[in-house]
Amino acid sequence: MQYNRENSRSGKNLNSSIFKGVVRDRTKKFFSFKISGKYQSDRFKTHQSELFKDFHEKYSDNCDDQDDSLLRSDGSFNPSDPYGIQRKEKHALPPRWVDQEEEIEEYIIEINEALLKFEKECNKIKRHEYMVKEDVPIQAIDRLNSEIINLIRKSENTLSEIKSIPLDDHVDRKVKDNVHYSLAIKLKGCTSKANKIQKELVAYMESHYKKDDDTNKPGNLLDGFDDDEEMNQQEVMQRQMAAVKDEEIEDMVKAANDLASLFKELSVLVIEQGTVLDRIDYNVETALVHTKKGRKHLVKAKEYSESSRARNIILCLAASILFCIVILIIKKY
Amino acid sequence: MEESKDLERRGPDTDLIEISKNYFENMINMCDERKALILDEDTLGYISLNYSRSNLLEKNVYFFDVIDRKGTEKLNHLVAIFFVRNTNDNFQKIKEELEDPLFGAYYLVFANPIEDEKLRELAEADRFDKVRRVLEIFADFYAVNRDLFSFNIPTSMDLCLHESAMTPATHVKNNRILQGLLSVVLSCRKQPYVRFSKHSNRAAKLADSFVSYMSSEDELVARSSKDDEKCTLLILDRKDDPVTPLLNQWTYQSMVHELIGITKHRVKLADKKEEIVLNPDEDEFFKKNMYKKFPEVQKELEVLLTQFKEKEKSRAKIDNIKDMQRMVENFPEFKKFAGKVTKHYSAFGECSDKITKRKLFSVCELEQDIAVKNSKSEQVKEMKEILEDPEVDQFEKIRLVMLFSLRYEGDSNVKKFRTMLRESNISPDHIDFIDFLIQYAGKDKRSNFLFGKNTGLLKGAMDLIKSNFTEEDESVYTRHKSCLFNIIGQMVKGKLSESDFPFSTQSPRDTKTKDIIVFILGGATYQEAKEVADFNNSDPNFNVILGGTTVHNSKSFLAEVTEVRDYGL
Repeated sequence: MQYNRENSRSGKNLNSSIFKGVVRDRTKKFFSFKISGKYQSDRFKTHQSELFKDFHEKYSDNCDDQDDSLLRSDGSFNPSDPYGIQRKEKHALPPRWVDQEEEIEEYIIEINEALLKFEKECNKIKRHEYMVKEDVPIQAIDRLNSEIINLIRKSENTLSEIKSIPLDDHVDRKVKDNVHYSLAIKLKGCTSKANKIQKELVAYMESHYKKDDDTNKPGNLLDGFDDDEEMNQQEVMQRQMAAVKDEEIEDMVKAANDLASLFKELSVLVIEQGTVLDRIDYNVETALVHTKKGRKHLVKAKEYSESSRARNIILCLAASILFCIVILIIKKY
Repeated sequence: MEESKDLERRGPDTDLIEISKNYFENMINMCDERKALILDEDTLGYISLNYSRSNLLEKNVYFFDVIDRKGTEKLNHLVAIFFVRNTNDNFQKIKEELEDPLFGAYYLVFANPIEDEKLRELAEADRFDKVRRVLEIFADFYAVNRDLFSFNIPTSMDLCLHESAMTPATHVKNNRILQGLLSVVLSCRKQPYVRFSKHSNRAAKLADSFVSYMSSEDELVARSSKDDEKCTLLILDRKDDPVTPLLNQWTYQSMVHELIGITKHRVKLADKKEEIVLNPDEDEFFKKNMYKKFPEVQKELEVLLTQFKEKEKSRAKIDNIKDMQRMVENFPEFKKFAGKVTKHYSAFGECSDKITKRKLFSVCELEQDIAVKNSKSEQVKEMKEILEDPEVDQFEKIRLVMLFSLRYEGDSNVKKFRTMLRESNISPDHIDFIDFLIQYAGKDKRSNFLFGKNTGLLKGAMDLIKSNFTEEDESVYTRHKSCLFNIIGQMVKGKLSESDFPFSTQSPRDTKTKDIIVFILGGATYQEAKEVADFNNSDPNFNVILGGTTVHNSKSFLAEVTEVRDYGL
């Protein structure tokens, strides 16, 4: 069970000053009523049967066990599993999407950390901390970059896993869909942030360091009057290095484009914003219509199953059989 | 440009949308786990106005529903936040829920104060120790605009009845209004003086019961004010100004409400399957233009359309891979923009269609004439012309006769007009509306504010209106100003007559307060909301908030008026 008694009363601390309007916290009063109420019911309890005592203790002292008793008390009955053991198992386990959800939440934390580092590096570049292009730790940036992309890819895969989980119950399905959307929105936030930083970086690198190259060249040529072989070699080395760096930059541009094409399907969310589809009441209403339809079908099914005609016919048949038997017996004697 | 600056200048503590959003935000942030949000019919509306599904999803709210539906599926992995009004029905349902909990844990958030006795019962029902927190937040109103709230009570005529004749439903309604008003006062953190319109018995009753309600919740009220600054709560009655809801209006929000109808920001257009949403909080274009007049909106729409065309052009231009990439990237934003343009185009288009079809231009000129000018013989002539015109909508004809009979009550021409209405095949039931209206808001029923025939103190207000005409309002279709406009004009000068609008609380030495909350029993209108917003923008020293039992257009107003017959008032 996820919520045990230790944390059950430790909700986030609320500071009423964050509210613009007046609020009043009634929790203390609620619990004081509860404590006094418990004391009374304890006195009451001594007159009750042992069974009730067991029941009461179970509920007031051990939250974790509630589920099975609850299931039995809600009157549901499963013919293949009369003691509710299987059902308890099913309900005690959290739904199937929880693992994936947690996984993605972790990825998101990691992505955000990486993004922070990434941003720092980019800002360093922009603040001219590297005088020449060759000093720029492109490899480190690249590593960060691909790390982010990797994480996002992984999350995307996990996300599609969630989407493909089959669920029968419509409430479960709705919750699952909402989980899917919620994570998608969060990931979308991460990607667009990564995208933005990258774009800025690439644009900066392209404009700034290319110019640098152009202005440096004539200078080198002028200096080249008293060149010797050593210098020449160095220059060649430098040029080679520059070529490598250029390639690296190109890689980065590619990576940025990769990111842009991620999560295309989620563009639907952006489009829906501000329309009636994104309204809470609209969603509840449409769900209501669905359940009403469902209920109608159920009622009909129930009517069919309970329809007295079938029962009457059976009764009639039974009566006639009985009648025949009686006649047979009478005839025999 | 300057207008938007003015909008920014508004103090954030009186922005109703901001306040209720802040309530919801903090309510949902109470815990970090996976959440479910359970609402009742009203709170669903409150939260829908200013909070979207994607907002909820971002905050890990994975399930939201109304309280009525008792599911059987266990949702142990979710923490439920119940955000409901304090009603017996909801209370009973929560009790049942706690006795057989479906969720892992519970946060109970009430939109009104909850009595100790009820709290005790809930505590006793919570045998499984599932409740983590019980909170009262005071967001018990529909925050329609920044300075307009509503309770969505379509009719409040039964509040006029004598105490002994009231049904339980009426008492519920009455309590709902009291709780709602207290919420508004508390959420704005203001301690009010209460004033009311003397000519209305329901306003007087409400004022008195509100004062005693406040004193019974004095602990809460004491929390509310940050300083000693007081505000005024003025309770008015719609019958003091039956003209404003009857007129055709020409500013964007009012016009859409009058010609199509807005419910909780949602508008159902004739030719579209999906409804559209006109919400000033999330729609920049609407926020900018909701108070603008018809031709100005048209101009703005054209600008929007050219913007859109340019975007489309640049989008269609694809030379290389990069352009393609950009297109893909911008596609959702583009689509969103396209949606916005079509939305406003179709809303505006439907309005202007109706205007030409119903010949509203000529009808409205006469409407405004009757409302502001005193030239009977001329108006009678024009009335006859319009009533004989077969192309004019029947409803518009009735509306005109109503305005005329309000203006010149007891005039012999009214009878003539009625026969003309009958001759143009209007059902007698509809013609009877005219009688109901007079019965509800006739000369002897309403205060003497209407049509500016009064003397003395009112002159100042009339001057104010006149100066306003010359300043900005030259259009023939928007000459009329509501009574509320006069009343506020006098209030900010501290000159509102104490004999017409007495205090329920002890009357203060200085009746001028910085903050004014006006509540209209029988419904406010978007036109009045516009006037209030204009006022707030033009004078930063005062903050006016308008509220009503509902927000009326002419049809919903007449529906309420016909209840006069049902209650035999």
